[in-house]
Amino acid sequence: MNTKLTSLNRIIFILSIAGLIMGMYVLQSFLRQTGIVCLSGGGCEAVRKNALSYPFGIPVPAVGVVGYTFLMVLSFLRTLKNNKGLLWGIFGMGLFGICFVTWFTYTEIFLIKGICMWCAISAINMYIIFGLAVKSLSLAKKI
Amino acid sequence: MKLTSETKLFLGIFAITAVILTIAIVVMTKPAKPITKDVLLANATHTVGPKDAAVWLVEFSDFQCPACGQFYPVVKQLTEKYADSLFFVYRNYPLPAHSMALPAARAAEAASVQGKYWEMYDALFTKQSQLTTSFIASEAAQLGLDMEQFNQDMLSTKTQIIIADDTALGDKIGITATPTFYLNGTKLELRTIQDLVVAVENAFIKTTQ
Repeated sequence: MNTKLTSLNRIIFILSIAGLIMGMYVLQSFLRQTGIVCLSGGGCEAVRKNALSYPFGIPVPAVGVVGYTFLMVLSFLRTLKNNKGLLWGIFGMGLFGICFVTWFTYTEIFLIKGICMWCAISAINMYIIFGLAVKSLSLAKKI
Repeated sequence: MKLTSETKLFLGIFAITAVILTIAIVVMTKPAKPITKDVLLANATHTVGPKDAAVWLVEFSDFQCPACGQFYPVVKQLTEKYADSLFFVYRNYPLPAHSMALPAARAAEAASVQGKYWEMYDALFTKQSQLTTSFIASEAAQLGLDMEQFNQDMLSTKTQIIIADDTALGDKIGITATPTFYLNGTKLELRTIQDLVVAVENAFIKTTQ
C-alpha cells in the first residue's frame, strides 16, 4: 500500500473503532432499558423507546455494532494483505452503512420526531468512512 | 506469519481501546450506591403516606411525558394499596422537549397553594392527551380554585423555585429520563410498568424478613 492509502486505512480503522464504541454504548442502553447521556434534549430517549428503532426486533445500534466491527476487521486485514477485495468490502459495507443511517435519520426526524445525538454522530461517521473508501478505491485504481 | 509494523500499530490501537472499553464497562455496570433519604427528600413538597415508612418511593416525573402517564395508574394503585406503609414523593422533572410540561408542573404547584395538588395531579395525568393552556385553566376552574389566585401562583417566584429545586436535584443525581424512580434510595431500572409493582412488593417482603 502506498502512504496515502495507508493513512486512509488508518483513519477508517480509527473511525470504525469510534463508531463501535458509540454503538456499544447506545446498544447497552437499548438492551438494559437505561437512560442515555444525550445533548439533544430527550431525543435519545424518544428514539430508544420507539418501536421504529427495533426493525424486525433488532435494536438499531446492534446493526451499527456489527457494521463497524466488519469495517474494523476489514481495515485491519488490509494491513496483512494488500487485497483490493478487502477495499471493495469496506466500500460495500460503507454503502450499506450510509443507506442505513440515511433511512434511520429520516425515520428519526419525520416519524419518531426526535434526534438522538449518538445516531447523528454515527451517521456523519459512516458518511466519512464511505467517503474515505471511495477515495481509497480511486487511489488504488491509479496504482 | 510475520506481522508488519502497520499491523502491530493497529493491534496496539485495538488493545488500548479494548482496555479503555473494559474499564468503562466495569465502571458503568457497577451498581450505584443508594442515595440517602436526606438528599432525595430534601425540600420534598408533595408526599403521600407516612414519612417514617420503611419503604419509600421517589418519582421524578413530567406531566407531559407519555411514559409517566402510563406509570401514573400503577403509582396510584400502589399508594392506595399501601396507604399506611408506603411513603411516596412526587418530584418535578419537566423535560424541555415537552412544551406543556413546565406549565403543567406550575399548574399543579399553583393548585397546591389552594390545597388541591393531588386533584390537579390526577387531572393532568388522566387527561394527559388534552394538555393545553386552556385545559389547565378549565381543570383549575372545575376544581373550584380561585382563578385569580391560581393564575398568580402559576407565575410566582415560589412556584418557579419549587420546580427549579426539584429539577436541580434531578440533574445533580444524574437523571436523564422520565419517569425515574428511586425505591429506598436505589434507582430502579424498569423494563416494564409491572416491574415497579414487583420492585415495591419485593421491598415490602424484605422489610418483613
